[in-house]
Amino acid sequence: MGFPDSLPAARSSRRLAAHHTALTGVAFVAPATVFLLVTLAYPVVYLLFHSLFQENFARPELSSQFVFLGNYVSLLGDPRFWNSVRVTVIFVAFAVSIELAIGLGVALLLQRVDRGRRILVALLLIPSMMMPIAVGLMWRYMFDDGYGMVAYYLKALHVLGPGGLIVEPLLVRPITALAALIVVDVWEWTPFMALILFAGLESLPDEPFEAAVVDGASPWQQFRFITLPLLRRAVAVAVLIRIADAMRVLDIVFSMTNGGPGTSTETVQLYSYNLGFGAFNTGLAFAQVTLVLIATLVVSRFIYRAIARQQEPLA
Amino acid sequence: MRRHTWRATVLASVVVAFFFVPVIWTVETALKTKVDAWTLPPKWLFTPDLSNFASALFDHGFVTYLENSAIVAAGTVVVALVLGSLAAYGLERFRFRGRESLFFAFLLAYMIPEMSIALPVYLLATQFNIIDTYWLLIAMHATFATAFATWMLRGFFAEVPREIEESALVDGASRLGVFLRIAIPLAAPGLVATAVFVVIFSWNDFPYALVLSSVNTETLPVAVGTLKTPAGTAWGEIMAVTTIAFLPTALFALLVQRWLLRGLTFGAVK
Repeated sequence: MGFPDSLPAARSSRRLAAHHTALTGVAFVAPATVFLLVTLAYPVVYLLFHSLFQENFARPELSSQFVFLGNYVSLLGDPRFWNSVRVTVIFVAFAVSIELAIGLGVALLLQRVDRGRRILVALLLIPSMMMPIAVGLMWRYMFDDGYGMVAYYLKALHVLGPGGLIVEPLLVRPITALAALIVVDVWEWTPFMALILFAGLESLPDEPFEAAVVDGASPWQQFRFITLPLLRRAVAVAVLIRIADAMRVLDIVFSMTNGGPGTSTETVQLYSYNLGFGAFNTGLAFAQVTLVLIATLVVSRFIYRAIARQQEPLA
Repeated sequence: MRRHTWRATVLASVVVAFFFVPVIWTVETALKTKVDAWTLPPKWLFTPDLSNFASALFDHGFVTYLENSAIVAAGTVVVALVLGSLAAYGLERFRFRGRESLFFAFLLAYMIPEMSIALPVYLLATQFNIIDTYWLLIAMHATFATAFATWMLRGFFAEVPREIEESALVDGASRLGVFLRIAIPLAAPGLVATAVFVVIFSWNDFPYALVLSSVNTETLPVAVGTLKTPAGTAWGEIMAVTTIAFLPTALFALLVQRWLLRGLTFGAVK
């Protein structure tokens, strides 16, 4: 045995060692941190600063005028801004809740599959691996009123067309255009949701279910009172990640509707792009981006907490 | 009580097939002649034809766009893996002030919408005269890829036994030596899985490429949307490009099937 820990010399040398390892840790993290400061923090500071000016996005060298919070005031008074928020909220709410509902069903189904699970899982993940811009183009083609496969079968079933539930071509009316975008997101991301929930189901302990069977609980009671409560952390992580992703939807909107008809499917991210490259209004674009960053900060905080909680052992 | 039944297998197969139909339709459209593509009712069986692929690759210059995408993805994976593995190891193995905040900052860097950053970067890059260069696109792809790699690799480094590292330290190895010669080889499967995800992200990225690339560096996702002929949108060619673009992704995804879920949740779900 060495010296007792309380000896001053030993204590200070241990503190020195701890200090030394902390510095090593910082050294390992430094390159990535410096890189992100240049590529991310610098642009953020730049945009925060320039959100206070009136400038032309296409001709930044032209004179700029300091307007303080003027851009934020104009933005909050712009109906198109609120429209993009509304479109995005509807999109996120419907897409994510449908994905959760179907995903849970598929996860429960996968759990009962006796053979070929690996193949099914591999095939299921294909939509989320595909290039999103191509996914949008592919669906625009299938929804096309003239030669689209989906439109054709909907017409054959008398859902679409004169006398049907939907009279006009799918991407022509605001409500069906937004619904079409939601369908595509559901197609892309339900498998992802199903697989997270499936992984959660697989990690549940057997004992509560065995006890419930002994007590004569019905399958529905088992699901409602054991499966769902035990699954809630996996559900939280999956739903939050999906919300964060759906909030920044851009690619499929760009390639399917480009925000139309009118601005009826213009999401927050597409509005950012249009403020810069359509209206050439730097200040307004950067004020909008600032609000987007604040929303991202809040959602990320929730995700961070949900992940930390999920990695604790279940009580 | 977890009854495994053949009925569930059949039902699950039907569900999966349903999700798979659009993929099949894409590949079929790519292989159709113009006449077959315009036929109603939709033709599911036909004689395959490769002219869409030839037209997209050679007449519309998609060989170049494929090259551009590959260059950017390769550059991104190198930067992100070097920076990300160092950062992940530092955050996993050492305790220091600000560690938690850094974790959160890296998550945030991964979560920030691409277009939000692409707009100011466009103005900055124009001023610095680096717009439409491979380096710019690689740097921006590597930004979220480094953040992703850090989160993803941290879990893999946590699984490397500390005892092996400590005995190497006692034997006189440096911290960097332990990282390079012990942690990296033992976390190799994680590095491969992370690399695959980074490549797919970069390969599929649209917002940065849309704003920051132009004639010299235009990548596949930007080019595919511009495929038009005088007669309108060139759907056959678009589907051919979609198929070509998807092949490497699918291959890679199969390669790292075990870690797919982990990758899609940046390591949060194992």
